[in-house]
Amino acid sequence: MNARERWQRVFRFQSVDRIPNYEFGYWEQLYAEWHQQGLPPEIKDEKSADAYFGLDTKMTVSPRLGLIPPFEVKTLYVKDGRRVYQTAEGVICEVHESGDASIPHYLEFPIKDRASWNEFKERLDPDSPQRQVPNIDEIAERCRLSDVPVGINIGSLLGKPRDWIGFEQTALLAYDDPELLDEIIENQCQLIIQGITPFLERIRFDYAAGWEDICFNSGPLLSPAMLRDFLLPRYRRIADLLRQHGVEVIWTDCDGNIMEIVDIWLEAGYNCMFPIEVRAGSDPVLLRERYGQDVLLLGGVDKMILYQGPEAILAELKRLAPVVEEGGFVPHIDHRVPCGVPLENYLYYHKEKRALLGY
Amino acid sequence: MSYFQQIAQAVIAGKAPDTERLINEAIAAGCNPADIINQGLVAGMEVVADKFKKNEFYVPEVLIAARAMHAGLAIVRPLISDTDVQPLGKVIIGTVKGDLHDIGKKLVAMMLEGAGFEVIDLGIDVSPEKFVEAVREHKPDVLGMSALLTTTMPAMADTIKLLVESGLRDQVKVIVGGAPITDAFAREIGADGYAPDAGSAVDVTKSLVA
Repeated sequence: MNARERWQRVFRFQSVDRIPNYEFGYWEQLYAEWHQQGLPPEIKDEKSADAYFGLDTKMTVSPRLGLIPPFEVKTLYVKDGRRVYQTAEGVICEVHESGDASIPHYLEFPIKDRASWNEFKERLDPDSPQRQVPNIDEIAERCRLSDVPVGINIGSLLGKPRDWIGFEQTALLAYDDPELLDEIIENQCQLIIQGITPFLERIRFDYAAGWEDICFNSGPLLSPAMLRDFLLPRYRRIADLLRQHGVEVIWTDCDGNIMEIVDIWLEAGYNCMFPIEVRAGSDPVLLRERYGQDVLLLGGVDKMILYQGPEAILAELKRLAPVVEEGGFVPHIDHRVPCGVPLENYLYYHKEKRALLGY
Repeated sequence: MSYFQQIAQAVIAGKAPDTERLINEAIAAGCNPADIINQGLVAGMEVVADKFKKNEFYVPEVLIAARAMHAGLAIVRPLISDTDVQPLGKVIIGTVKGDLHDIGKKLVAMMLEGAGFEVIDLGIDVSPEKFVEAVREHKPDVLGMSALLTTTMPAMADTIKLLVESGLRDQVKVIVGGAPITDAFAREIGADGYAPDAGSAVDVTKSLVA
């Protein structure tokens, strides 16, 4: 059984020789900490770390769904140890000049009103010839021959617009100018559908992966009712297209507490939850209790237990074991492994997780 | 329905123009400006905080309600003296050193202000020294610290330690919150309270100043 067959079978609740072994990733600064604790110096990025820890691989194809052209990335000024710069998406951000880990402080956003949206959307033209991928047939052939799972990136309906508009401004726009927010989301939907179609026509994908990040630890950014109005019909259009082309596993990455909006995704046809942040209130055990085998699960191991040591790690894995055994669940840490986690604990986690996966 | 109830309803619905209109009508009708604040604006925001805590309201509803409250305050504040309306207490709030996020902290500040607290927001990336200096200068009842990252959580303990060393710890209650923070962590570092979300932060703060 190769990795691709293993992936397909586990998400169909069929028997496997072992469960696939994946992880979300690692905070960039963690490598330096772990080098002090014995990690070989050549292990300094996700790819080398995944290989070192013996993880499986997968292949994700990315249609051109971003800004064309992107904004110029440039430093505007440096002051008091902080660097203010413009991102490729036109957002003005502030970060620590030292490169210390933090989410940037956002200062200004490119979409402020309808006029700025009209200017901005020229970079989001679904019909732009630059969105065509010249070597698409070559990519398709590589996917066909792949013995690891093959997936397609299906972009974002609200997460990206939120990044371009700003968190508070998006929340206010939902009340002040819902038509504008709706237009922006619809443009995203058309961009995604037109962008993924040529790939779907050529490649049989094992999964489709979107991204939203529209939840906090207390729930979603907008009310479930609003999300239903703005997003559900569009998620459904995307999911229907994917299903027509045989894609069986569909998720959109969303940190935070997703429990209130899982219904919306499932109703639309997004059947897999990822990364299921436990400390925020999302929970693979509860999801399976509530939705049975209608929900597929990817992630769901509380990252915070990695600080606590073997007893807590073992307890968390045992808690998840019945759901892992039932199938449709590939467990891994519920986000990037955070700084401060001892390498020893992470190695212990892997040892016990491999036992759970059936190695 | 009284003017106060109507003003509270307008705040709850996030209708700033209605809030302004009703306040102007209430003033013309001779209502006490302090009562407009306490029984209208603050009463409305209390309902908003409660609904947010119960997930009946979400961030947009809180933001439009806060906007309506501020629109109302802009009319009423010039009409009252400082002694007419006493805040429930004074709160200093900030995101700890190394952490540049401010969404959660801003929501908490908004909720506290809506509940009738005076809030001094020190912003982001606030060092223990800056927190302590602000406590010395403003003499708040409560100091609130927020952290999004596990790597910046220790700055909360550093700040409390510096408060102790500066002889100020007994003069201020400390609450902490943020995605990676737990009640156990709050107790471990010697904080007086922990709030898992912005709505609960108001309850915890109220209990600390009671």
